[in-house]
Amino acid sequence: LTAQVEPHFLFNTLNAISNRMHEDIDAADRMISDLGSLLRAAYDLDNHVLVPLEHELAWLRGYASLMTERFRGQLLFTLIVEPGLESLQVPRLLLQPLVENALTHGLRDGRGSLRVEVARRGSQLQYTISDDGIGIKEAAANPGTGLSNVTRRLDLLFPETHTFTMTAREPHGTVIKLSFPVLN
Amino acid sequence: LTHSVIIVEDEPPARAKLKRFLASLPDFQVVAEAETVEIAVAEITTRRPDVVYLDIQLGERSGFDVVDQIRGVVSPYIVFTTAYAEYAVQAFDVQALDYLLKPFDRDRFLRSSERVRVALADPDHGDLEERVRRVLATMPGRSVPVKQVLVRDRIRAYFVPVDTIDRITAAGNYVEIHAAGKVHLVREPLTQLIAQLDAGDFIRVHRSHVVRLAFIAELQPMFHGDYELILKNGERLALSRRYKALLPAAIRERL
Repeated sequence: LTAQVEPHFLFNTLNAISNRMHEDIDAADRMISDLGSLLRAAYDLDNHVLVPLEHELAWLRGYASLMTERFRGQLLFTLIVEPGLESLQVPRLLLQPLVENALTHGLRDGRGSLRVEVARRGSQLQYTISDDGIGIKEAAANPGTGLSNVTRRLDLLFPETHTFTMTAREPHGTVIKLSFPVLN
Repeated sequence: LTHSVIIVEDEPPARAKLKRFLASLPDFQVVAEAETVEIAVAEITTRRPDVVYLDIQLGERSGFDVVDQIRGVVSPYIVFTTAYAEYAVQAFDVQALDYLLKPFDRDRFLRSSERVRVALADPDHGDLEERVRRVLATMPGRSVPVKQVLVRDRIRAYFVPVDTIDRITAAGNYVEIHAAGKVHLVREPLTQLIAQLDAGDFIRVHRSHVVRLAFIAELQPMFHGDYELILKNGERLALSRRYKALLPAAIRERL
């Protein structure tokens, strides 16, 4: 398993940086640093199956802040993490396909909000990814390969001990909840 | 004289960057911006800009949807902007004026804007002439195409049989008639010379080139919407975008 940095993502981000540096050089600097984090994850050839949660969150923050820059004023991203979970072991890059899918297929014309929550529920760690986009029915007409990839990995890593649900969110949008055993 | 511009981009930074570059050109004026296919079609058809900078990837939709929907209504020059070259061939097909790959710098943008200026200043009515020539050739009462062309050199005057001519090329005040491996010079404007030939046999592929249809072996797409014709003797000729649309359908479909 390797992280994907899609060519479109890479080149559009470089284009956004080349604009940002004329407006705010520190912001442009942050974008380069964020892009660096994503590329580093993509080039991680060690191929760990499990990584500390904080690695996952570093990837997520970098990705979210680049997308927020590119769709400035159109995209609201919220990340809520229960304190004290940072060093727990989690499947590497499990969040990536879910978040990318929500941002690229779920939201209307790049507008909307995306919320990611990470919390402990007893002996399980739970991810909740919710968007206010086009919803399941329309999204299903345009399925990303990402979702099946996630459920397959959960089946392999945690047979019988994980959950995965995708439900409609009111008034519109999608909520994905998944949980798997806490690993120290 | 200012050229009106519409920017179609779904990402604010991409719009900001184009606006910054365009702001340094006093003869270009941005009259509207659009971030979706629907808004783009509405703005382009009502404001009728001279040029559209058009992102190919617009969320889940495509800049080609915009081209399809304005076709037949307005025909601005189109400069595609895109992050990835996978659509280049499609862009040739819709006869884009240029194709800016992101991220592009100011120099590349300025080269593109110069191309826009040239296109707007000199619409090259050669393609119109060629359309007229073909329509005229199908009209009844039209004089029969000549069977031979008179060539004079310093020593003599002689005829070149038209059915040996492979191609004709403008060269300064002369035209070169390429026939059976030889080149004959004739002091006559290209347009006037080809008016005497059968429009079904000879087609204009460039301001300076006329080729016998049957002498074309292959067509190859080049960058920026132009094509290269490969002739049966291996010679290569540029085919301008403007003349590509005039190729017989049987040839265009081989692209």
